[in-house]
Amino acid sequence: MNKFIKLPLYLAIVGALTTAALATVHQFTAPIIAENIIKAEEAALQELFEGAISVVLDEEPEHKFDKNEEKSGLVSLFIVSQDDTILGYVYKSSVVGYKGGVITFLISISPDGVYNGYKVVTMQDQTSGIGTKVADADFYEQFLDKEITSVSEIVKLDGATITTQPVVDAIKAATQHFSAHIKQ
Amino acid sequence: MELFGFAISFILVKNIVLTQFLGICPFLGVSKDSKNALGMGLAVIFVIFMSGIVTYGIYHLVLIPLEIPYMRLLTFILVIASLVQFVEMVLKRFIPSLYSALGIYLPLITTNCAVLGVALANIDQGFNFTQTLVYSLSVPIGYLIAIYLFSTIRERLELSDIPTPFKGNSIALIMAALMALAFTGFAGIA
Amino acid sequence: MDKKKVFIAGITKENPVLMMFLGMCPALAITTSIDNGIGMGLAVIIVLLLTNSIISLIRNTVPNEIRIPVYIIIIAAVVSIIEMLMQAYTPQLSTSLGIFIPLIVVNCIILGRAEAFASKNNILNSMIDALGMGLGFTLGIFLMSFVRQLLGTGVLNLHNMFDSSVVFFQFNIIPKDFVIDIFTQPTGAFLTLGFLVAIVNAITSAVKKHQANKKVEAK
Repeated sequence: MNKFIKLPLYLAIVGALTTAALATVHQFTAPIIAENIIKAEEAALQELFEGAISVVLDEEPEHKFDKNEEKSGLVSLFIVSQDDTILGYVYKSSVVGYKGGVITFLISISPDGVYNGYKVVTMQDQTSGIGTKVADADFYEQFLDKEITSVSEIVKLDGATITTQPVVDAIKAATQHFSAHIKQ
Repeated sequence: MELFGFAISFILVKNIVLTQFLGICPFLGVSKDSKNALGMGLAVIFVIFMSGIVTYGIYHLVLIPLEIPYMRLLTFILVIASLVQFVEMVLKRFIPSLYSALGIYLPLITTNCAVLGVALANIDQGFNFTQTLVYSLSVPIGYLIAIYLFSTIRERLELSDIPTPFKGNSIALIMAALMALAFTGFAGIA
Repeated sequence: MDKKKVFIAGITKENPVLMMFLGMCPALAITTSIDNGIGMGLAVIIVLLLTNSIISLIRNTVPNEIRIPVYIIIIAAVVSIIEMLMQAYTPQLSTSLGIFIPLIVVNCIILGRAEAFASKNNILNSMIDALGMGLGFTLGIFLMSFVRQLLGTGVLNLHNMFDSSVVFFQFNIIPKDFVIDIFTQPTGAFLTLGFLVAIVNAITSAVKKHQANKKVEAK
């Protein structure tokens, strides 16, 4: 067989076989990985609400985050319920703060459009007292327990704009997603 | 300005070799001669910068829309291997002295953890395109600084009297420990 | 081919971490705990077994010009599969090892063995080589993790990798106040490996001397 045919053909066959193998493994591990994501967040989510909760990952195709929302940092959407009533739609976001440190946080919006939960889960390398303010009451009091329509512009903290800005943008993206897809 | 702080943190504070432990094999292997270290560092800057951009593009423009993110390892490593092959050909043609000086270490840039590491980090840390550009450029600059400084120390070390068990990589690693310690001094900068 | 020799070589004379200085990136980065050390070691052993076997299987059909790209494709695929399986079944371990699981693709040991051994030997020998090299690697990083965790945190423990709430054992050996924190950091990692290598060097030259003396005596 001509070399120019044999070499690419061989590569193509190897490529096709490996891709098929990967796709198969992906098929049956993806649901398990999704469950692990929920389990990992369950502890943090529990801290937002009192009492026993049940958590599901929102996998409705309509609610899937588009490219802009993912760029703003939205990672996953959890629906937290208690005894058949939905307590909140919790958006998990991951943003890059100053110095490239990653900040992961949860923001919860109740079914009737009130910010009813906020928690910073991980915070890498943020300057203490400045970047870390995104976890302080001064910051989240500006929106916690307030209706989403009444908070049109979350005020930036003095001297911490570089870190709060991505967090604010992610909260805005979450709010817009909620208003567009979930709000009744 | 924010991007500058970003860059400084990846060059010094979170130096890829001394804090993230990526790129150790060539770090120990090429650093015996400072001229070679310089050449290697520059080659690595080119490869990491280009592969960072290309892999970012492939991930966001091809893999995600086709919903096959699990193919990222395969595609990334093939991109990197091709880029290194390209650099090899260019060096052989235009700077043959550097080509022969780097020897086996040139194709080994493909297996340099720092290259694949940066490509993966751009995705895992959720960088946008500008952040990817800065990250893919500052990380290898940090690598160059570390490997060049290290090679100058090692050249001196060759002339010193070292107890036999420590000769070679052992004393090099201990020196690296001291360098890592020194670099922690940068922690307050950015 | 002496199978025992092949197996032992990977653990002693040709130990990838301590003698050949391959796979050092994970050896320094993740060896902060025994969980990590053993987890990474097992992952590498499984990957090596799979890649050596597959490449040995197809060694006579691969056209020589494209053998490196083919090996790379196979290795990347195997590692991707292991990565997915670990994320599904050992999530805690997967998070602590982080980026170093996909980085197994560029661990010089894997491609090195594929090129140096599996491409030239039958499946059984290739698997033995994989096992030997993998165990040698695991030994190296286990030693690193042991020292670093003991001196850096004072505690030695091992969790079940499939269910991290299950602890197999836990020994609190050094009280918190006397712990040398630096061992959990980069400086400590380099130091530990440096001294480990020096010790191995000393042992190897002592063994060589002993064997040379025996030869002289035998004459």
